[in-house]
Amino acid sequence: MSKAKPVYDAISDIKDEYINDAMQQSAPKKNGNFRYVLEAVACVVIVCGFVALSFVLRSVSGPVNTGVGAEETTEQETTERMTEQEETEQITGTEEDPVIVTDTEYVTENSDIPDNTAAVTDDLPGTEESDNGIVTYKMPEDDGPSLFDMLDIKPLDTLLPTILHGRLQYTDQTLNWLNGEEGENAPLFFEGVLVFDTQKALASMPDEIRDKSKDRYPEIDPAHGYPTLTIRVYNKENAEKDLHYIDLQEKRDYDFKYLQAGEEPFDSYIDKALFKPEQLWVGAVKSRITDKGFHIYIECGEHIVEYKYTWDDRNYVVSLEPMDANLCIMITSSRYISSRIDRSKIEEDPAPVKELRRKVIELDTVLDIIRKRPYNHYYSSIESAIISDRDPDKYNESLPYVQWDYIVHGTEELLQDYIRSDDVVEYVRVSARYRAVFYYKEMPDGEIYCSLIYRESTGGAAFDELTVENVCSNAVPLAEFEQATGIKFDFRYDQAQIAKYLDIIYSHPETTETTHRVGDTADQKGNEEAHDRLTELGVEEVDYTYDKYGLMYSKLFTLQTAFIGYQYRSYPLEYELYGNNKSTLTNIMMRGEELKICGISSESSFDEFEEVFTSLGFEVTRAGVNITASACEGGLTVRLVKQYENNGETVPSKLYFTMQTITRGVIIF
Amino acid sequence: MDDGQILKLYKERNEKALQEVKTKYGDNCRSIAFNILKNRQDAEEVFSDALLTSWDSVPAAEPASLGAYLYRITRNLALKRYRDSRRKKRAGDVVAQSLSEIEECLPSSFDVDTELQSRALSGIIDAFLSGLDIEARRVFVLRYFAGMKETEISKKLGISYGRTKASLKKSRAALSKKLKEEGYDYE
Repeated sequence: MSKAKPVYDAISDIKDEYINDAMQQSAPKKNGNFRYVLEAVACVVIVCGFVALSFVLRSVSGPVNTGVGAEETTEQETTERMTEQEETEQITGTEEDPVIVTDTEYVTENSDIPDNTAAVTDDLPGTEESDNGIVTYKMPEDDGPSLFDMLDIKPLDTLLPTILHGRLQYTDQTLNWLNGEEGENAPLFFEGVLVFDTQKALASMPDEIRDKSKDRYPEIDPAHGYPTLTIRVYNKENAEKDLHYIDLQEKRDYDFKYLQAGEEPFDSYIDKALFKPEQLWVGAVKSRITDKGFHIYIECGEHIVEYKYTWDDRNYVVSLEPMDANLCIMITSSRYISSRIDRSKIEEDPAPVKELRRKVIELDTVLDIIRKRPYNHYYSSIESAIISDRDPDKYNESLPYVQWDYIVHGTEELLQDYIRSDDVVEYVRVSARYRAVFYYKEMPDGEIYCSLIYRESTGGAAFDELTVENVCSNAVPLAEFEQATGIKFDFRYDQAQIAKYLDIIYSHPETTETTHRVGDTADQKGNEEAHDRLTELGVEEVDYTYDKYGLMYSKLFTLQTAFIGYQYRSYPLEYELYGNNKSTLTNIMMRGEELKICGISSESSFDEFEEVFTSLGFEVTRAGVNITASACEGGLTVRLVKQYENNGETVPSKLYFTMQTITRGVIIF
Repeated sequence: MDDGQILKLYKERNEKALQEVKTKYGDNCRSIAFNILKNRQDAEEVFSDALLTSWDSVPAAEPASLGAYLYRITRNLALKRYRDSRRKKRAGDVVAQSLSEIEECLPSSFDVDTELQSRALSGIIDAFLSGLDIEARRVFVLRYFAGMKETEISKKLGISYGRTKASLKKSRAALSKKLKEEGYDYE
């Protein structure tokens, strides 16, 4: 043991009276121990005096050497460390008495740094990781500021919003084009809905950038002052002709109106009531098409921002953009995809659509894996694969499908093998609760195997190294997994489960092998069964009105899941919000410190959200009076008044949000 | 029930003795074992072993103090178990730390492997403890006999954490001096 062992052993043989005396002691009541109280008061006085003195000294001459030696520790410091240690023990428990961490506990303990940050940042030029693990992007000085700099958005600060909203904007490719690079590194597409708060964007944009943009593209005329949402579909070979503007407002049932190039953008699907002109102003969007690609110029007040794209090797680039907002709304890709399916083609040949639906589910699951990454590098790559790889000859060009070849960085291995079979169901489950990604394999006998693919706190398999072999081979029965990891799954909101059963619905109308798992959803019984199952899984208000081909859209669009992330500085403290309502909850807007939720069609939905937000500590006010099914005249405004303590400093919280529809087959839980 | 009555039950081989011991000394024994082992199950087993040991030994060796006797047995059994299973790194933190602290007050050349030295040590430590004031002695015993954390000691004795630490530091210095005076310094 050590040379102290004999002494330690000898202490066993000390006199009985010493042992008994010590062991029989019990803490005196504080009120009855004047000395103790006096001592505590004295300590407080001393500490306060010390702090005050230190403060005075610092205010006079900055940080000072307090005289405490580098290797010495004060009692106070020691006490703090002890407290931290004890807190840690309280969080993690002991080996024998593990504490199952809850969301908050987990995040509190592990919010600093995803262990895989370095691996990710290695892929991204210019990224730096500070000692405390915050990843920031730093462009080389000579290359000018990045888009991050322009918009003052840090990747980790806006992790989910960045991923869901920023899309390609925040990829290294985008940064490449900011540097004037073209070719293979340039982005393939621009997908997503960006709503710039121009005031904020401009305010955060360095003068030189604004001036530079203006000088470079003086020919662009300022134009329209209303928020614009457009979807553009470009085809290199016939770009001008195929330049489509799709008006989501007029044709919100996904029967799009195609316009010829040159026509003015339509008014936004976004209800204007959400925006006040002085708050939000979006200029013209113009394009310039070249052999290499195309450029989009966006007016922001007097300034112009350029987005430049090159053609992919299939000569297709799809662009979905309105430009607006620092923090923004988006329409989910699946909705986008779904909306672009030509139903007449589906009736002719439903097989590809079924395949698409399946892949959408699976892909979205994987996308959510990527969303958990500290950077959305992979996300946009995969997303680009979804959008850009289409086969117009076969499916009327509006039907995209997934081209696996586009998927990068090992994700294709993951994706390709998430193929559901009749015997074994494999899927990935992303847990916001544990900030981890799990692999599941459900056997025909019902036993579930599980393995950890990735976890922010502990890493896990490097994403690039993921293979089916090493993931699947690590899978152990769920009970063992839970016992070994201390992770307890709550399947109530298990997105994979829901996705799986949604897949059943997706698989409709044909009876497939998949549908047999819970019944044939082609009939009412199957619908009811699926409904019950979904309800059991926590999805409320499942409307399963059956319609042969429109079912999956008209129905699934009724299921909405909102995920509210609550972020304090760079430390993601997540809360979960599930809002299921029958209307299309399409708009969750953030304005400054207000979060506005629109599109809630019923009082009960209001109540639901209000309750949740209130429970999260926010002030909730109802801004709207007219609740309509169509949108945003009504609204729920959440004021972010929740304060957070950090090292004694009270700082306002920062709320971010994401919104997904269950149509994607994904629920973040 | 006082110790005399319990010992009488022991002698009568009445198992009620163990129940009484559990009631009277169980918490402290478990606490000592747990402080060393950091494992409730192990601590419980050690306590059971201590009861069994006492059951086997009491008729022959009637302890002057049943409590101290049980504490000592428990501690020794716990230490033995700790040494047997110290590969568990978490389990030994407190013990290792307290050992380290004890080691600090030993001369660098200190080597007490010899039986003679070992036997003499108990008496030296007793003498050392007798020289401490009551509070310092209690702190020392709770720390190095019962294996309690400083925070636990301060709570138990109703003194501040800083006072506890200072007391231990002072005691260790005194023990070091005492050991040197007793010839455990060959330098």
